[in-house]
Amino acid sequence: MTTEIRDEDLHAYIDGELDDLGRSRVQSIVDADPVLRHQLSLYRADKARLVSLYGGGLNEPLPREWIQRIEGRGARRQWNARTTWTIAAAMAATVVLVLAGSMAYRNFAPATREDIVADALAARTQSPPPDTVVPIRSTRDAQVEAAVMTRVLATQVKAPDLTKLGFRLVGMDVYNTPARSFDLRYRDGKGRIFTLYLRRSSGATRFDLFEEKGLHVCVWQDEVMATVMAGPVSGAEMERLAGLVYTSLT
Amino acid sequence: MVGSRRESFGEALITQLPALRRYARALVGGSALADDLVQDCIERALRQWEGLRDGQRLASWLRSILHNLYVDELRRNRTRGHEQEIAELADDLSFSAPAHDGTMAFEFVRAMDSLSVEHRQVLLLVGLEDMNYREIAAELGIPIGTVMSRLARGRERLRSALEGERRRSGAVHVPGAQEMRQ
Repeated sequence: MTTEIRDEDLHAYIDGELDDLGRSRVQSIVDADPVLRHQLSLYRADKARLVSLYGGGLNEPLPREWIQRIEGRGARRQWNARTTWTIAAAMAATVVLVLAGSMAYRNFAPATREDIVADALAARTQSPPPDTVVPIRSTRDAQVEAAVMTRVLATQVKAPDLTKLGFRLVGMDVYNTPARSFDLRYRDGKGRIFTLYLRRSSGATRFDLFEEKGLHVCVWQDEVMATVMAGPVSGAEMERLAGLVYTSLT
Repeated sequence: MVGSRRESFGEALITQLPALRRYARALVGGSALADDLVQDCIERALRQWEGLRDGQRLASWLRSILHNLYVDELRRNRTRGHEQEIAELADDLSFSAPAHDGTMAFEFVRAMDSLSVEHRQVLLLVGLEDMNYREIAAELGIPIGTVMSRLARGRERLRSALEGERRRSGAVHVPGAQEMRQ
């Protein structure tokens, strides 16, 4: 780590915990140091990965005995002995995962910039104009468009609901070139526009988060889908948005 | 009167359970152990609910109970690090992750599991629970400076563990990751 900046300050910068002066100071050091910038990107990717992996599951049904116990209808619990079936299934999962690990590796580190970012930022400004502009006025509209995206992208996709982070889906632009793609437009109460650009993946898995032209941009791609998110939001907001998009897109 | 308060507490407790279970799974690295801990946490909360003065602190109070139960469990049985638990959670996560990247999920869960409980705890409170440093310091009863240093060390060790996991699985070296520390 460079002597100019404490580790703690770098992480406080990632978490949006610095005041304006501290943020500017760290930003200028990071801008001048490509090694540090890369490291920052790796830490951000780890943080986003944590959210994407553990952030789901809130809608899973709760065990009935928990509810019954809280409502005073169930008996006090005994510690469960783990069943043979569970252990066997877990051991099988271990074997499968280890085999999978030996056969495949997916790099989750920041990658070099590709045209998809330029395409996404061009779509954000509707330059060139989209082939089709679809206003979204209701949940029904969003569902219809999700069916179109699913067909075109050949994978199950739905427009993520970002209302809990203050952004409402207001429209979708469709482009036929350079690849069939969709640009979902969200607006929050402050009038800020957040865009989610989607198209078929070129193959390589990548994650990247950076600032450009006053926007925070997040690129998230797996073997199936490529997404570019952009908006005039803070880095911390973008991480939350990206996590929510990632967990609710399919 | 007490019955009504008990009922209100029960309703509030139920609304907290999905987030508590999510936090527990991430903390302990196994969904079966996490569910056992949450269930024990429910029992303790039902016994001690009248000691909770501020209902706004319910989530924090539950996490503290869960954390204490987990530490007790580690001391008793040293359950942390059981391969089947980690694989089980990674398997669950790889099924739920849209990236279809079971290998990455497996590596990440193992890397998280290699951290100390204190490091995992602060990483999850910042990353998963979206709490700021001041709130974390209040919940854990430690100075903000300690939160910051734990977070920095935790993230460094997570990164180092991830690189180790990838080398172990015969994966391609992540460009630039190792030389950063030199």
